[in-house]
Amino acid sequence: MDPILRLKNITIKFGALTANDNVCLDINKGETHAILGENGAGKSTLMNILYGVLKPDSGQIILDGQEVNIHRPRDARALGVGMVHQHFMLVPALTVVENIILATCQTPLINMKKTSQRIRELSTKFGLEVDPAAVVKDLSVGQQQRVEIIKALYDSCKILILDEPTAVLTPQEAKELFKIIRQLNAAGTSVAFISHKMNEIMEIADRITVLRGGKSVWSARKADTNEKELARHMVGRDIVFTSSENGAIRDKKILEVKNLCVSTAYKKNAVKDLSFSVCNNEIYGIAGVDGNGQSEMVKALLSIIPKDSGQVIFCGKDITHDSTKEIFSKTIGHIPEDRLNMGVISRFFIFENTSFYNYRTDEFSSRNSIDWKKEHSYSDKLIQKFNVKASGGKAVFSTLSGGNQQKLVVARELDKKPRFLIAAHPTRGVDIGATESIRKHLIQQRDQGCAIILISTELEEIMSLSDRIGVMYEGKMIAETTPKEASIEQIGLWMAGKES
Amino acid sequence: MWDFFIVIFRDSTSILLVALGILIMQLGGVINIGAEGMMLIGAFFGILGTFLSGYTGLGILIALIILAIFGFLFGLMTIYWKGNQVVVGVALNLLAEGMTTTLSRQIFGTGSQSTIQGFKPIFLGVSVMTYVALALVLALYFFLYHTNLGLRIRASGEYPIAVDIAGIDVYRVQLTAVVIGAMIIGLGGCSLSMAHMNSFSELMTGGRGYIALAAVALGQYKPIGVLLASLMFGASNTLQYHLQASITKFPAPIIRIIPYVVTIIAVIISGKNSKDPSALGKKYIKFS
Repeated sequence: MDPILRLKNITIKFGALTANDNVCLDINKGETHAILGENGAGKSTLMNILYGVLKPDSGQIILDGQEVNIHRPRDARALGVGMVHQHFMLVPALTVVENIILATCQTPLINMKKTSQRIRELSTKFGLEVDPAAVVKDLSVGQQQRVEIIKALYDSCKILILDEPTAVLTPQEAKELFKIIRQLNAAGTSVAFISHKMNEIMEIADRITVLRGGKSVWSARKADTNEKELARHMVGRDIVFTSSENGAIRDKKILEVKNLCVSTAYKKNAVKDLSFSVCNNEIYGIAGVDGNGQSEMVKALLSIIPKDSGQVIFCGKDITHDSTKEIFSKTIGHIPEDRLNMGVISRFFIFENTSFYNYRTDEFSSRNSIDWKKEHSYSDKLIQKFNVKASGGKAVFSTLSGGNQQKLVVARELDKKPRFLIAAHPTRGVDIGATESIRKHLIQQRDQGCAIILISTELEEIMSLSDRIGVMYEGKMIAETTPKEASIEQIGLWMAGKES
Repeated sequence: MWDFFIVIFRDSTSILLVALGILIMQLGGVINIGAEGMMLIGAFFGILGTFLSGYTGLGILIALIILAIFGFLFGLMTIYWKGNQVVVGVALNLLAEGMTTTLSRQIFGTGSQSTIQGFKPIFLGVSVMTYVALALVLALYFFLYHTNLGLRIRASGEYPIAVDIAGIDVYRVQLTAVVIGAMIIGLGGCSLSMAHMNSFSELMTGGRGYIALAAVALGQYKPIGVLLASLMFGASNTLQYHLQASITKFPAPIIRIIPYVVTIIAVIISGKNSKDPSALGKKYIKFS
């Protein structure tokens, strides 16, 4: 049987970076084809080419035996290719029906009734339960994803692209999604499933193609392979889960959080009665699905948002009511979750970005004016010390690649020699080389005595770096364990709110 | 009592029209601080067109065409060339003030020679403009909630990337909203100079464009809400006239500030749970 879709020698370059390098991919009718690769391997780029968001420099797309030109997403949809983006493309203020009409309707007048009817049809056919009249912003992430799938299926869809669909889901919601995917397959719709999580792929895929460094390196049927082999192809070598244990004596509580409660304008009790402590020479990993109070907790710890109640003690001193400025003037570092909005000013120069903490100190200023020469050489020093790929401190920050941007943020925070460090998603969206270097630096810092909170949604990262692990669910720390005691499955259950 | 209501409707008409124009633009994501200027241009060219042609209908048509051109330029500068919407809007206001004042002095002199035969009350004591405005409330409701373009406009002001990825030209949708909006605002200007008054006087809009801006926010971006808010502002204006006429002991300037004080209070109240479109005033760059 000929494949329904064949991508041949797709190449695309962004400046010096070749994001896709002669990538080939076959997808058969009615199968789930997983595209596996590390962050930055070119998975999303490839799918955006197929969906018409990006234009390849060279290569062919052959659909049903015919070469096609896809210039815009609309062309892709007309050919039966639908896509669910990692970041949902739904207008939050509109209802489900309105969102679907927006994406599919071409007539001057809109017909809510007919569209609602069709949505219900699709709902029942594929088990995509959703209320057509609901406003999107009131829906849970899982429900929003269903709306996206309905949107893609609305005009007969032959190939459905799912870009990292489980990244925002709880394990249970993911199970539901897999059920839907199987039903789609049974109805003859092919699914391109993008992920970097091997266990998921082993569960749902029929065939697997691995991308690495922009190239399609390997392809196989699931039945003929195993996780270990996948990992080897994905990373290019065997991954060894090294335990980072260092045997230091942990006798001082560096940070202690007692009964912290936080509410925000959007969420009451975002953090509820949260207590934990971190010792010297310790990485405390906080696992949890995104949006379970992690970012509110961090912001409250740093007094960026107010605390309702609770106590925060740093090295024996109560810092509950200190201002953010006072907190940062202590030896506390923070690698923020959203580096572009919270960590840096990306249109500023690198040397300006690295001056955030020191421009007031006597070393870098005299008589209230900043000594920019010193700031220059300081940023050059950081760039060298942390091996950031940049032409120098005088480059504009936004010209750096994502991995190097993050390396620079990490460099700035670690150069403060913090006794306590908050690392929120330190390797999210960062290529594998930078990831490795950032993790190495975190461990180094810990070995020098620093207490670190590591917040991550990647269980593998939590498991390999942490000395202790706490699991956050709906603002509470519902379990505490160590990597040796707990299995990934157990932590996954906790993340879904199953206490045991 | 009935008279009082009629006066309120008459005083609200121009604000209501301008607010409806602003509504459609801002739902599309474009801030229109230049409404005052657009209104002034509409007021002037409606009179000028009528003065030159002798027909009120032709005067309005000319004003609408001029406003369509200004709306197109405004959209070009803000949407396509990425000018700051507030800065371009303020520039438009300054341009409108200078242009209408100068042209008016050149053509009509400084007296009241611009007087025309405007719209007379046709039914229940209000002119056709008031009925047009009320009809537009319903029409706009239908347009925004039951047509494809209306949906696209609302979506562009909330989350343009979703519109873009659906293969719809966001810029064109926004430009359409701006041009339609500018024309409705121009109609509001005409209703002020041709139905409320029968002549053009310098800077005659007196901040009504800004008041309309407040009416849109207070009306929570819903056509019916905008109608109610506009009536409230109209009523405060009516009240002001009445007080000036009936209470002679009280200093007139203090009475005259009533509509503006009401506006400020309204803006503060509506600011608290603002329904501003999420992408209002943000520059969006298309990826395709």
